[in-house]
Amino acid sequence: MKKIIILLFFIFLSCSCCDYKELNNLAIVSGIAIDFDNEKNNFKITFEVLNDDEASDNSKNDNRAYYVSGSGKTVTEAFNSTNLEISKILYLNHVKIMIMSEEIATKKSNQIIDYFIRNPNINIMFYMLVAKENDAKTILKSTSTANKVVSESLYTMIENTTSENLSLKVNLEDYVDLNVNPMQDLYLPTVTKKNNKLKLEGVAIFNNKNELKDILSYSESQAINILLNKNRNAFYKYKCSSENGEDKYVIINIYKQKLKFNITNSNANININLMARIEENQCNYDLKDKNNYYKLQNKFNKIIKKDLDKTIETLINNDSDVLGINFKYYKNNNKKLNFKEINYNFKVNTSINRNGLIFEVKKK
Amino acid sequence: MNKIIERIQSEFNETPDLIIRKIDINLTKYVYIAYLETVSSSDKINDYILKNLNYFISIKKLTDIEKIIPSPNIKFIKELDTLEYYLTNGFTIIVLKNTIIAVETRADINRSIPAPEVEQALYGPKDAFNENYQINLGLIKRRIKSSHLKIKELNIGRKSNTKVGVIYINDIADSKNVDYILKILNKIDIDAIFDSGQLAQYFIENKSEFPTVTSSERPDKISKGLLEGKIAILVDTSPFVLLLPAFFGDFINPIVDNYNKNIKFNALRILRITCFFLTIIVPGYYIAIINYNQETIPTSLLINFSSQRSQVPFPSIVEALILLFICEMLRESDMRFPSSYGSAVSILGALVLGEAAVSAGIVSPIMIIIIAFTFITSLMFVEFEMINAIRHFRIVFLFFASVYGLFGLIISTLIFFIHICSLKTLGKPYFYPIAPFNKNYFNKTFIKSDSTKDTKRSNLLAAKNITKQRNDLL
Amino acid sequence: MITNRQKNFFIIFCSKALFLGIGYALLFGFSKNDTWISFILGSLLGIIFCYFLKTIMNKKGHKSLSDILKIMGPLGFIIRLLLIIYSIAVINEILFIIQIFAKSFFLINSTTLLIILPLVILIGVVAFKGYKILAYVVECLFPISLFFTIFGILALFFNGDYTNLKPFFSNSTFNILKSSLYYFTLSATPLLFLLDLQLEDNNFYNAYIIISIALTFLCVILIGVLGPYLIYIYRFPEYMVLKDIQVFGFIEKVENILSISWILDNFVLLCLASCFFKRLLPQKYNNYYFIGILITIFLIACFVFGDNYINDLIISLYFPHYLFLLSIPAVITIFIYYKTKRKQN
Repeated sequence: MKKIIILLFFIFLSCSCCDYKELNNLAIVSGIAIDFDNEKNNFKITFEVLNDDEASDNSKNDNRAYYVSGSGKTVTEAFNSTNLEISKILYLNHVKIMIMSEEIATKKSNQIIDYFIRNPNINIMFYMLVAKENDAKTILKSTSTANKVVSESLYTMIENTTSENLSLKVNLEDYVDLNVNPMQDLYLPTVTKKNNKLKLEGVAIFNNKNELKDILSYSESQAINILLNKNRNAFYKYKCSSENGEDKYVIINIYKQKLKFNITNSNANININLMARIEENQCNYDLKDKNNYYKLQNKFNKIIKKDLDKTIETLINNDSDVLGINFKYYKNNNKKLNFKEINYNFKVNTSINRNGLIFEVKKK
Repeated sequence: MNKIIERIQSEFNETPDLIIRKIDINLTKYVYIAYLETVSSSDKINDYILKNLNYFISIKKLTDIEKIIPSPNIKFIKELDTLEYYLTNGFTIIVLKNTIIAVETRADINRSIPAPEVEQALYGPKDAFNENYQINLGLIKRRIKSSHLKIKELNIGRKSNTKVGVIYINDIADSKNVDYILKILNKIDIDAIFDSGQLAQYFIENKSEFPTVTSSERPDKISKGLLEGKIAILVDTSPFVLLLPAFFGDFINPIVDNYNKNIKFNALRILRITCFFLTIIVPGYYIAIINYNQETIPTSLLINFSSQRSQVPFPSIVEALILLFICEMLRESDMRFPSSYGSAVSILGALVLGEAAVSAGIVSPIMIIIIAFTFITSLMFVEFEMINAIRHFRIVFLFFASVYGLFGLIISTLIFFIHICSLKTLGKPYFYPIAPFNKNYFNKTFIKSDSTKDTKRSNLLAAKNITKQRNDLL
Repeated sequence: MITNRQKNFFIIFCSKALFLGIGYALLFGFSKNDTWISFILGSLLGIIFCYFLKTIMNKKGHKSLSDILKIMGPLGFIIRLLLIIYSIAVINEILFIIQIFAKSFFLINSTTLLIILPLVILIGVVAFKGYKILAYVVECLFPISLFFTIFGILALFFNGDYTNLKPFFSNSTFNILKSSLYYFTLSATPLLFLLDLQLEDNNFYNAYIIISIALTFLCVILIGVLGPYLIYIYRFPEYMVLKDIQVFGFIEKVENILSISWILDNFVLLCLASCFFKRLLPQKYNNYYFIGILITIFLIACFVFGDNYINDLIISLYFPHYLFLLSIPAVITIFIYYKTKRKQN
């Protein structure tokens, strides 16, 4: 009993312990946006803080998040200046999204990495994004009725498998890994704001110095996804006929793939086995005839190969080894290689093995 | 008047229920009969003694009285000092000249055999011990019909003279344990023993919250323990029988599990063990994650917690202590109150805990869930001392969680294990089937193995006769 | 008497303990993605060490180590001193690593004193209770540790990209050999704490081989999940890797619960070391000596090493060297003593 009384006494003392944080004193940050102000040479940081004050006014208050921002010469200063704006303690363990502006991605990405990975208070499993054609801040602040918390909706956008085939998952750990790896370059998904709506865009590729070089188009991003073996839901279409100025297509969806790299010091042979299902058959190919399948498969092989070739060309032009060709070669041969100096041979093998629920729709 | 009768009268002066009758047998012969009205049965006195007084004339030797009186228990008393014992135990004293004869005419101050109240169960035998020593012994002997069941009796208590029996099966139990128990019992010099619980306190070796003695009202539980090599202590006037040594594992699961197939009961048993640890850890864990390691909680839940807590003025640890205090209070008042009033307490408790406390802003709803969960899981354990131990460690866990967060939970887990591993019962490690691990006993207490495979006694308890079942013929 | 089961648990806890904070971080720094090779080489050395220990235990019989050192005379005194310093070094280092570990992930702003104090009190209590109680405690802790370890390994195993292990032998052979010696020192030398116990069975191999396989497997998973570059960036790679765990989409962010198993390992080694050196101290005024030394260790851990990164660096870089220099001569001397003694007879 004596022990318990002493313990109880200590409990009341402990309420002032160093790490004791009462939950309602925390400002739970869910999204971070980092911009760079060229004129003042300043980092600008904006936090999206989840609003936990619902109990006060439940029905009227629609703001589920509010924003805190600060600026400074270094990331740390910028972070600290945000602390001054808010009465609660900023809690960064529940961050879901971090958006960088293009400027940060181009010039300053090395500086922010060190801060984030060193800080024990920050959860490292959040996703990274590059804001295309917009400030990161405007992206983070573009709430609408559909998505009241931008970071949450971006997070689900990236997580969602049925979304368009642009959603690369790159969390901070992957980001750091790609950053420090001298033989593989960085890639990030991008987001933009068009017509007051958020939209995922193509993949941002970086060069060996971690500078943003280019943002790829839709088809190139899709190819990158296939080559990184991260494809979940790619679509390809083939224009089969054009009657009276009206184009007709066959569209396939690639739902499964197998990828094999075989890199020697002069050639990179890349075997891709794709499994596809028909999404649309506007030209009314007779799907009971096996020859039609072969025909379609060959067509798509060519289309996809063309896409891949184009993508590789873009990568080489941008000096961006996103695919980690150098790293792959190094792993197998323990030698260094310049990915720009070798030939790429793609061998695409599409097999259409699902045709959906019907054979054809045809007026007889 | 006879000197013996005079002595009785002087010893029992101001005892109105003492009845002394002088009965003339013939002109020269007379006997004195003395008994205490309250503890003796007048029917028996009538049947055994008064009806047979006529035959006293024909007595030639005094020992012939035994043949005349049909009572099952007749004693010739040589020492006058024991008179008091016999009288108070319901014997009738016959004084014939200088011979004293005590005839058992004990009244039945008994309840009938009740159904178990504390250790209730759906299946299994429905009889329980009552306050009568002989009936209790009979309930055990009815289950173990063997001459190897030995009883060593002694009387404890200067004033109460309570009969205490140490029961064991001599070809199973370790004789060292029996000697050890007798040694302790012989040392006890006390006014009175009213219940076996009073004796149990003498068998606590370490100062601990954990119970080191089982006390049970179920004869089947005691019999099973005896067959396992344990030793039972039976106390007159107590409906609870002690079973020694008791290990941690004995308190988790009730015995009735044994009367069913193991398949469905192992899930229950695992549930109980889980609940034991949950009821200790959960409040501490909640405090740790809500005050120190908030990253463990999913974000949407964290926002809910945060908004619920925003109106509560106290730190969450104080909140937890307030609720724990209220719950303990409710439990205690529910136990003490007569059962006919019982519903009032629960209604009041539900009102106070449910609606009012939340709307008054004293506690947050999530804390009520946590504490309610803690209490419901602890209700599985009937043993009062076990509940005490659980409560003790719950507060230890709360304390370390409130100072160190999750790191404190690790430390308090270590404290718990170090404490429980260093406990001893009858010189044997208290955390026995787990540490040191014993598969035999583990399969009897924590998990139930198939009945056909349950062939051995545990070698820590039983010194001899380890095998208890042949399963090669099955 | 320590049963076979308890002894195996002891070996598993002891061998694993020093890999938190020192082991993995240091070895990955040397041999990067070839670390698993050095683990295998190191465990071969460890098996030889186990042979030494087994021989000593067989010859020693049921005598305590202190008695044997008394018989050995002045040589025994030097060995006794070496072993006491060894165990104090281990205690100090573990307290210090736990402190850094706790400050990195659990209690970021708390003072060192507050973190170490309960641990020191606990190991003092256990040292007074003796080996037997510790063995019981270990039996209770083992299932917890096993559950967390297996859960972590299973959850991480399918996350890994095991081409990261390639190219084999890309680091210099010297580094690989060096880190295999480090592995040997960190995994095998703590086993000499078992010399003082009375064992039912003196076979050290089984448990040591099992824990070596487990550690190597963990190493492979670490390299596979984190990749060859991240592993040597982190101060606690074995903790950071747990952040990648995501089971069924909802069991995530459980790293601070799974890492409990590391603290349990360290605690067991702490207790074993404190029991060990308490028994080696002189019998007269034993308790006073022990409490005095424990308080000194506590003060050193708080005020010399706590909150001092330079000391941290020095200690964690050269810690295996100290361990090696203190333990190997002592064990080999006792071994040779027994060998020559037989010849004389």
